[in-house]
Amino acid sequence: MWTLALKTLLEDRGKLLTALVGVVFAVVLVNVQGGLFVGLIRKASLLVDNGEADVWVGHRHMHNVDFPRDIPRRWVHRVRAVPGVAQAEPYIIGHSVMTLPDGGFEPVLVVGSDPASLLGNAWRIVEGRSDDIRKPDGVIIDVCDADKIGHPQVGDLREIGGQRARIVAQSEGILGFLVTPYVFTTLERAAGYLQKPADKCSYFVVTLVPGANAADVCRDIKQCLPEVEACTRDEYAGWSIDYWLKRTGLGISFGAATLLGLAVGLVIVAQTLYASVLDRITEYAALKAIGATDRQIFTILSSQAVAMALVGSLVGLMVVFASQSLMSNPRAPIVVPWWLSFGSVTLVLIICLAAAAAPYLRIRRVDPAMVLQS
Amino acid sequence: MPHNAPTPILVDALSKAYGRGTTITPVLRDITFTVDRGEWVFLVGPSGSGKTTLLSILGCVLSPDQGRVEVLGHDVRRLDPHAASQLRLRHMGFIFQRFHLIRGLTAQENVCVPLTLQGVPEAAARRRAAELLDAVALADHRNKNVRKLSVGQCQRVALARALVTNPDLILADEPTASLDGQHGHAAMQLLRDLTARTGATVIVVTHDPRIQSFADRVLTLENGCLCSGEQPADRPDNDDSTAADSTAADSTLSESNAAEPATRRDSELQPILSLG
Ligand SMILES: Nc1ncnc2c1ncn2[C@@H]1O[C@H](COP(=O)(O)OP(=O)(O)OP(=O)(O)O)[C@@H](O)[C@H]1O
Ligand SMILES: [Mg+2]
Repeated sequence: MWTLALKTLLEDRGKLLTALVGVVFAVVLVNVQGGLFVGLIRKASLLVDNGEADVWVGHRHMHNVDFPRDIPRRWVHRVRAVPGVAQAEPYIIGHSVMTLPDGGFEPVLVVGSDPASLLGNAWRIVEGRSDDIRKPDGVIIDVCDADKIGHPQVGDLREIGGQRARIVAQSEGILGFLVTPYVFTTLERAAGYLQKPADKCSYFVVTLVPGANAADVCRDIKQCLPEVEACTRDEYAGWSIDYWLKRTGLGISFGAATLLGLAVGLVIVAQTLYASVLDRITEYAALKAIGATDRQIFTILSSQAVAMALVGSLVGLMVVFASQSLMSNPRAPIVVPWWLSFGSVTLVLIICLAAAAAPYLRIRRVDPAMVLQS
Repeated sequence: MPHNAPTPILVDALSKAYGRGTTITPVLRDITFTVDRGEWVFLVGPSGSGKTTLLSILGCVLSPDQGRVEVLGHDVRRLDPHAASQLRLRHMGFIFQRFHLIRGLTAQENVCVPLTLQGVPEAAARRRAAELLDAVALADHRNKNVRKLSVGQCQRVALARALVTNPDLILADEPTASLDGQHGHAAMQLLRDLTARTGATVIVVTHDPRIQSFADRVLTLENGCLCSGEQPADRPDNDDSTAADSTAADSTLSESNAAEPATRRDSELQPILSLG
């Protein structure tokens, strides 16, 4: 039956190509759109995903990593006392303004980490070293933000919150969901740039001893410090993403575009399958006259649909990964997680099977007597 | 096939009309006849006389309005569509006027189709199909796309496809209409050779007087009625009376067919018979 299905499919090469284009189109659209979306939304949890903290402790109502509220620094001792905690350090994130040499200014997001452990400091350093923030006035900025802050070189000076800042290293690709550049520095210097009282910080970033259960540790922290929220890395990443999803409706617009792509793919595949069935209607009628059951006809059609879906998906995914490696950049990263590819292929498979339904129903109505009458 | 096999075809007072309401057109009226096992019956008659309709009813693709029709022991009015398609698949072979081979498949794959539908494993189906293609002298064209075959070759593929399941009943609608006289005759000869040992019953609808010499009996339909001359009661056992309306050349052909030595058939059938 497979031979029959596939060979007849291959025979109508023009139609097959059209259908494949439809499938490829749908797969590429879903994956690239979805990949852009995932890439964009993942920026919302960039600091959480890339910082080494296993657990984040912060204000009881914390909901987005970039918008924290102060907590007393001295509580860190109580966090350190919780079993399972290997390391807990205060961490500061806050908004300030950088003054540029030409007199302009740029809002920045200052990130201050503990200078000893450097927990939560910048990563992916391309110039200088991450521990250079220990140098006087040392800050790390991202090369991708260079145009916003007057293309500084390592060693150049800027002013943040009215205080001196010297670029000591540069990272590449630390771009947040906000278009505000991140500036990484030490805890104390960050407090200075943000005019934050020395006894306050934004979070405690916590690492665990090997084998400790993050959820249990969070629960224990909240028990001994009822005034704080404590959550795992994944949880806080999720909250930060939800914050933007819910407030911007981004998901809906991306989702709608993706659905539209799927719909177009469906129409193309359905239309092609239908046309090729119409083209062969007497052959199908002959098959029915010979004794093919409806189930066998369905097997033929669904094999064709599945074959188109799989081949189209394969080509589509190749296009996706090609365009990902060509077009993805820190500004507009295309992040295609496995579940997106897998999901899109599954969806396309379902769509193709659904597309086989119309021609199937058409053949069901065919009277095998017609082959004799023609 | 068991000896107590039922009469292949039994038609009693069959009527059929198309359309409904005020536009009913009767097509077949009060048709009665039987066909014996192994008999070759030709349906002839003017265009629109209902030959194809009758053949469709015998092939269980159309149901009669009135009367009793038994095909291979089954009352066709009691067959549900699935049972009917199984009956066709396992016991009938169809030869269509336009062959209706499946484009894109090779000759061999086309012949395999009924076996595939029966669920015969691919390898066995291909072997059997190859044997039949041998028998219809298409061994060399086995792997050719049927698009690339000539009309005569296509007809032989269609023949092989109809015979590949060893059917008890073969139904052919204008099997030679797309062929010239010589090829038409050859195709019928081939069909006769191939069915000689299986003893299949053959019903042929035809306009073609040149092949009527192959018939054991000719039924003439006119305006939906069987002409009395060919009622089963006075079925001629000799070919002469039916061949009377064909040309002189054909009647000599028919005689030579009848006198054809069995040895030649046997040699052509060797591959099929080896199947057991
Ligand atoms: N599906 C149908 N609906 C309505 N009328 C039909 C249908 N099929 C056939 N007819 C009519 O029934 C009559 C008999 O048709 P049928 O095809 O059986 O004739 P035929 O003897 O095979 O003719 P031909 O020699 O031209 O093939 C014709 O008048 C035809 O127009
Ligand atoms: Mg006809």
